[in-house]
Amino acid sequence: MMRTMPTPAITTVALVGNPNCGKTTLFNALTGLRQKVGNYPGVTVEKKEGIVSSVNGRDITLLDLPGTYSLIASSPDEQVVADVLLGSLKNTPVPDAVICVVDASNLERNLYLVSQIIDHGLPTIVALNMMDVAEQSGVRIDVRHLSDALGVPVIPTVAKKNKGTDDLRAALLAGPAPSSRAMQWTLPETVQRELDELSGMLSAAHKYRSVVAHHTALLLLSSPAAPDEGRTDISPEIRAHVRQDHEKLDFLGIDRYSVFIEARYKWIKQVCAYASSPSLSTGASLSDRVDAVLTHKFWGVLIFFALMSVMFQMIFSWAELPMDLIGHGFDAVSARVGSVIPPGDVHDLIVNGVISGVGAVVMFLPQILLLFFFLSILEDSGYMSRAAYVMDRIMSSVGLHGKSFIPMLSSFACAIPGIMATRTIEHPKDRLVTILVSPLMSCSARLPVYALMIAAFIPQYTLLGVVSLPGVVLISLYALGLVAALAMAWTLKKTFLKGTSLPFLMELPPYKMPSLKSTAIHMWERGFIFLKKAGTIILGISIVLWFLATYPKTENATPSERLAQSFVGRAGKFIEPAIKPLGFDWKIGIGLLSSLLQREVFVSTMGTIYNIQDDSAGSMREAMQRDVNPDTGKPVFTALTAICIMVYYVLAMQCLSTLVVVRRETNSWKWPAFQFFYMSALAYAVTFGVYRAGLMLGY
Amino acid sequence: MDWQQIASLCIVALSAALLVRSSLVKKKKRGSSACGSCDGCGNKERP
Repeated sequence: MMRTMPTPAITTVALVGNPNCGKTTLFNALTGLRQKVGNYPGVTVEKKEGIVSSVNGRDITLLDLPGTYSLIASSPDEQVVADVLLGSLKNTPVPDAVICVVDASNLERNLYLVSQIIDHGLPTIVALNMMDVAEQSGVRIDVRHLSDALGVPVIPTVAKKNKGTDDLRAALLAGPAPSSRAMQWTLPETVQRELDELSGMLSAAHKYRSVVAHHTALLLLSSPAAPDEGRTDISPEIRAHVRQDHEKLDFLGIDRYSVFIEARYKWIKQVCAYASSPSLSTGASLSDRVDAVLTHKFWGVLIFFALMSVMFQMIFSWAELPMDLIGHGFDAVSARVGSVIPPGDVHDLIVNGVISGVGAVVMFLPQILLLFFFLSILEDSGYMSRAAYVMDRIMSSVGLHGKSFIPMLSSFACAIPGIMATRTIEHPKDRLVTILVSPLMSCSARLPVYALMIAAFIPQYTLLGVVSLPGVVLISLYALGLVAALAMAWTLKKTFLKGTSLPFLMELPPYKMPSLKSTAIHMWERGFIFLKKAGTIILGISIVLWFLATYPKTENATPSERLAQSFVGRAGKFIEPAIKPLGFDWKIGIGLLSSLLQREVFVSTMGTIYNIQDDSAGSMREAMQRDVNPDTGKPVFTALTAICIMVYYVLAMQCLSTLVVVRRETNSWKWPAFQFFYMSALAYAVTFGVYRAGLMLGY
Repeated sequence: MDWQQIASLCIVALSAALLVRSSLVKKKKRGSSACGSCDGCGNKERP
């Protein structure tokens, strides 16, 4: 049965659909207006109107609404769609009918919106668009069966070829009716009872129309937060009732957000099984099969962490040989220069300042290149979106959603593009929280610090015959950054930046083979930036640091005493009491001070001061291993000290560029100042805790 | 002061001056970009 009641002549029709379903193309085909059609999701960002020229002279106004996956709105664009269909948008009357455009090649996902629209009780026509694409991919849809299952007319169209548009016009003129198949999906009994009760209360208290009451009740029940924020339009009694409902459903272990989605999809699957070929309804494509594993609640998360572990193990083991080669290369250059220039200040400056400082950083180029090699492959293959999807569950536990994980993943490379990527987050508070925690993710600038400490002080054990201890330590540092970011996000969402988290829907891009060319270009660009920094800023800082570590000169003193009497030595001694509780001496203090603006400078600083202090042959690493504290007679660097330094660098905000970008993105110095102080305090407190715990355990 | 000391101090002074200059230039260029992550593309659009 298709129609239940006749409808009066329609004058206004809303055109709705998922992003990229060909909605704007169909709008152009029906109205004759020409608009720009792009491939970007949500290309239509404004309300647009056009006139459908009809056969018998009656004009119908067509509203082109923004693309959306759901009427449970998460962005301002999507809110417009829900508001128009509910009639809650000023100066926009409720449309007489809706044309819901559906991508036939992606029926199941598109029917989610259709099911929400037919529940609204508006006369609806489904335009089954992109039929040619569906047929090419072997999808067969029985239009009559689909129409029967949805209870609305279904018109096959190919908008870009203007096919089916006459049938659509004719269907509009015939006057569609509300679906007879609304609310066919079944909720668990308890949830349904609460939904009906709440709808009834809203209708009685606020005189809502039944459809508005139902939609609002559904929104309130499925919301992750209590309705105190931003819902002042709801009476206190109803808000209290909703809180009770939340507690009750949470107590019963019902995921209030997923339960509605799953119920709808259960019904949609039945519709697909009835109306389309088995291959479509079972979704058995290779991509779907891969996604079933990679986005699985348990296996997806496990695979994500396994992939990250393999990545960091490989970064460490693969980089070893080229790093040694670069190290030997710098040693050879140093020896050659040393033999050409006679002993004196210029000799010291070139050997101890320039070559040691710059060489100490450049040595880590292979690790940087490998990091970007893996990140580029993960991104190009389409896996990053799956990672964001599987992390949504973890992110939602701290009050954010999967969309926030993409900027955090980008921050593995550098916090600056990560912070820029937060622009896609709709909710301002969620965006600010993501900006504030993203720099806790270990960026590539921290990698040289980690690599230096691990190579020098972490023993080369192999666990279970396959996993190397240095690799495990490296993964742990990245994991610490992630855990700290999540913990801070949770704290911020519970304190300064309280707010409701929005539902997360994202389109997973198709898998594709990563392009070797684009990966190589990406590695080249990042490698070039790294080398440019080493050849300019780090070179300059190394030269200045050499001066500060050499002057004022002390006659008749050992190299170590001369360094202690130098400008940087005095500065290091000055801050030593503050950093001593962390297990750091004044030389590490020099490193902390000099790397306040850029983290990698710590490595070049160590290169310079250990070359000045230790004249004997051997690498910087060996000089650090040999260094003994004259007061205690114990080594300056132990495995515990190295771990404390790395923990400090995971958590501390030692990057001026990031602070400047945060200032620009938040339009205030308040947030970067807050970020600098909270990260410094966190780094100090956690490092102190690690050091004390290490001492207690006898390290 | 021998020639090596004079030469090394000149290199240090030049490096310090270049460092200060580059940071000032960066600051000036950042003023014209929205993000500060590059040397300025002229995109003044705020998110």
